[in-house]
Order: sequence, then structure tokens, then C-alpha cells
Amino acid sequence: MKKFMIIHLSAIAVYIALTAPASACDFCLLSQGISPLDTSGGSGIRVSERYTLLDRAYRGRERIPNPGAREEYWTTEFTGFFAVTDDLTLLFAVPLRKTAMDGELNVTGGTPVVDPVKGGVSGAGDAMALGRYTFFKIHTIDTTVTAAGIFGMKFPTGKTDAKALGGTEYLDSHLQPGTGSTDFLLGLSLSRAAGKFSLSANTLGVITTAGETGDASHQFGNALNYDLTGRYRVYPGVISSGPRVFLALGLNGELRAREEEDGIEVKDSGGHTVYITPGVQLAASSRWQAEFSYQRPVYHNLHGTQMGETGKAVAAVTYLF
Amino acid sequence: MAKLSPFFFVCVLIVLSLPAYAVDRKYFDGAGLQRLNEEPPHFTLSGGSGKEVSLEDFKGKVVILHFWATWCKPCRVEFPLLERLWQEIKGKDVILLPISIDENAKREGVEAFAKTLGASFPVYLAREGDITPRYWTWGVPETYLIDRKGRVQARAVGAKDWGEKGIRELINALLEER
Repeated sequence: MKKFMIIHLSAIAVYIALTAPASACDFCLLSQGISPLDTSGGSGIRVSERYTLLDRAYRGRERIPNPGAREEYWTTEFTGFFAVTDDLTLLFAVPLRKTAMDGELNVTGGTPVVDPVKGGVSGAGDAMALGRYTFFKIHTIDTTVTAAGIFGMKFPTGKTDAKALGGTEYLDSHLQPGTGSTDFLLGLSLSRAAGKFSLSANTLGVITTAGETGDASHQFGNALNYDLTGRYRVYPGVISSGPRVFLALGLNGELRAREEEDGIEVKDSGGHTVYITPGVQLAASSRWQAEFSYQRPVYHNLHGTQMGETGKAVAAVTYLF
Repeated sequence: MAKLSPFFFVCVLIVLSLPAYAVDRKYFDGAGLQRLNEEPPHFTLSGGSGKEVSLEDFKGKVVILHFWATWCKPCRVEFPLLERLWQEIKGKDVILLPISIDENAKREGVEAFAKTLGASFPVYLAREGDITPRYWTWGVPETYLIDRKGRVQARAVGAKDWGEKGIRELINALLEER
């Protein structure tokens, strides 16, 4: 028994260590539903468009004047999902990324300055394969409670050698379509639905490996993404086969560890960002769904001096087979 | 005798607190129905002849409790399938209670509507009885299978093909349970 407890507690300790704050990655948030991490069952295709704007500068928790740097990201993601059984769903996602930078934030003598570097790139990002297995479900007349485990991998399919305008230097790792690394994903999804209202809590940990940016070794740190989202059906009163409209409100966040470049820790990287995410979802029929949500950062605690997000908008259409 | 760890007792408590299902899980998986194990809320209904019935009247029999509405498109597709099922099982210890949740339609209209869909079984109106809307929380059509002991064992949310082998096997398993 003592040996079992040691192994059990060690496993918990390893899990905590692996989910330490890690680097952000726009492509890490996989969603089929209105909350950023909500993967649900069934079979179908989802196409989403995500726009992220960074034009604020932070030092730790403090917002500081932005000397003129700006970054924009557009990610079009195609996700196919297939229900192998009632409890097991497999997902495969391929993102197409377009990035743009106008001015690069740097710190000189403790003062944030902008280097007049411009550039951007379009291309396929890193593909992802995920599985979701529902290992617990309890139904009553009024409620349904489920718990599911999520597991998967991200593959280094995106390019990592795009250069800035002028062609003299490589774009920063965040601006490249891919990461060059194979990463491992592990998560947990809980949900409780009662009539018109449902609440979901999701968490997804990313264990990264070393990749590359340009001609340098680069590793995004481990990440932990989490969200808590409530969803309420505002129309109709009693469901039949017609359209349904839901409003959603979530709290979600990213914990990111520092990056490493050529084995050296990048001081001004990683941190913790928390968002409030309102959204709306329309189930137009039993097969078609559309949704829109906006993630507004409400808390930043970034390591060193960095660009921080102003907001993230997501629109998606899903077709169920 | 070795001392048993508190962790062991916690595991035992968790296992004992899990719902104990009377009918084997394989029947539910085969039928594609949600598995419940719950005492259903009490209700009374008024039949066409004015006679009042309640769920307790049917203890000892398997009850198929079906909620539908005249405005519900999938319900119209499902009714003939329910009728086919009814023709096969009506000699057995099974009661079929189709309950319309229409709020404005008159009884004659609902009965005539059901007949046009081929229904030979009597239909009931929720508003002519005392029944909680919790039963159709998830929408219509919604169907519950209640065992001989009066416990809700399964639920179908949405239309089902009641001729499917898996569903027939589940109903037979509930009938065989004493």
C-alpha cells in the first residue's frame, strides 16, 4: 500500500510539474463548442476563423506605454471529428495561419523600444490529432453530468523559416506558421447540463519539445489552458427540431512557461493571461451550427516586458454528419 | 491481520455509492439510450373517457412514457414506428403512455392528429393531468422506459427507430426482470 501511495503521489507531482506556466500558442486552443477548449462528441467538420491582436505592452502585471509595436494573427482552422463510439471521439485539426508584424518590441536598458521590423507570413500551421474519451456519465430526469479525458499530439507540419521584410532576419517564433516541435496534449473536460443551462470546465496541458525557428533551436515552454463556461438556451422554450440560440459566458486562461532559444531561457516570454469570453451560438438545424465569441483579456501577468493581447475574436461554422 | 489503509475504505465507499443498475449495461449500449436509475416524479393523467390514471396504477408492468407534440416534426416521423412497436408488444405486460405537451390544442384535435399518423393507442394531454414539465426538460420527443418496480431505467432524447433490435432487446430485458 505504501508503495502504491508513493507511485500515486509521484504521478500527481509529475503532472503538476509538467503543467507549470508555459509559452502561449494560438494553435493550442482547440474548440468544437463555444468555450475555447470544449470538445464534444458526434461526427462532423468545423471551420473556424480566429483573429488575435497584440498592440499592448506589459511589464509583469503592469501595462506600460506601447512604443508602437503591433502583431496580428489570423488562424483558419479545419477540424474533422468522428465519433468512434458513443464515448470516444477522434479529432484532427489543421490550421492555416497568417501573421503580420509592424514593429518589434524590444527592451534596451530597461526601456521598451520598437525596432522598425515589419513582416508576416501565411501558411499551414502545425496539425493536431486528439482523442476524447467520456469515462463518466450520469443521467437523471433533469441533469446530465459527464467527465472526459482528452489526449493528443501536435505535429511539426508548419514552416518555421519565414523571414521579415527585407529578407535579412527570421521572423520571431510566434509569427512563424509552425513550431518545429512535436508536443503532447493531455486534458480533462467536465460538464453538467440541466435543462436550458449547461456548465463546462475544461483544462488542457501541453508538454512541448524542442523545435526550431529559422536556424536556431527553439522551444515553447509547457502550457496549461483552462476554461469555465456557462451556456444558456434563450430560444426556444421547448426544444423540437427548429433552430436554437444559446448565450455563453466564460472565464478562460493560459499559463505559459518561458521559452528557450538555443538552450538559453528567453527572459521576456511566458506568463499568465486570463480572459472573459462572451459568445453566442446558433444551432440552425440538427446539422448546422454557427457561433461567435470574443475573448477579452482581463488580467495579464507576463514575465519581463512583452506584447500582450488586446483581444481575440472567433467565428465558426460546424456541420454535423 | 494487516491494517487496511483509509484509502482502501474510500475506494470501497466510492464503488458502493455508484448507481446499481438492474438491467445489464449491454442492453442500454445496444439500444443507444441514456441509462438512468431513478424514481420518476408522480403524475396523474385524464384519459379520453375521463378516467384518471396514475403511474402507480402500472406498477408491475413495463411503462413506455412518451412525450410529444403536434407541432414537433420528429414526433410525426416517430409515431408510426411507435405504432409498429405497440402492435408487437401490446399483449405483454407493457403500457404505452403517449403524452402530448400541446398547450392550446383541443383533445379531439390531438386524437385526430394521432390517428392520421396511424396511432391505434390512446393519447393523453399533459395539461389535462398533473405532470411535471421536468419530464420534457430536454425537449420533444422524449421517451422513458420504466421497469416493473416503477423506476426509470432508460431515456431516449429525440426520435428513435422503435423497431431497432437493440431497443427491442432492452424492452424484453425489462420484461424479464421480476
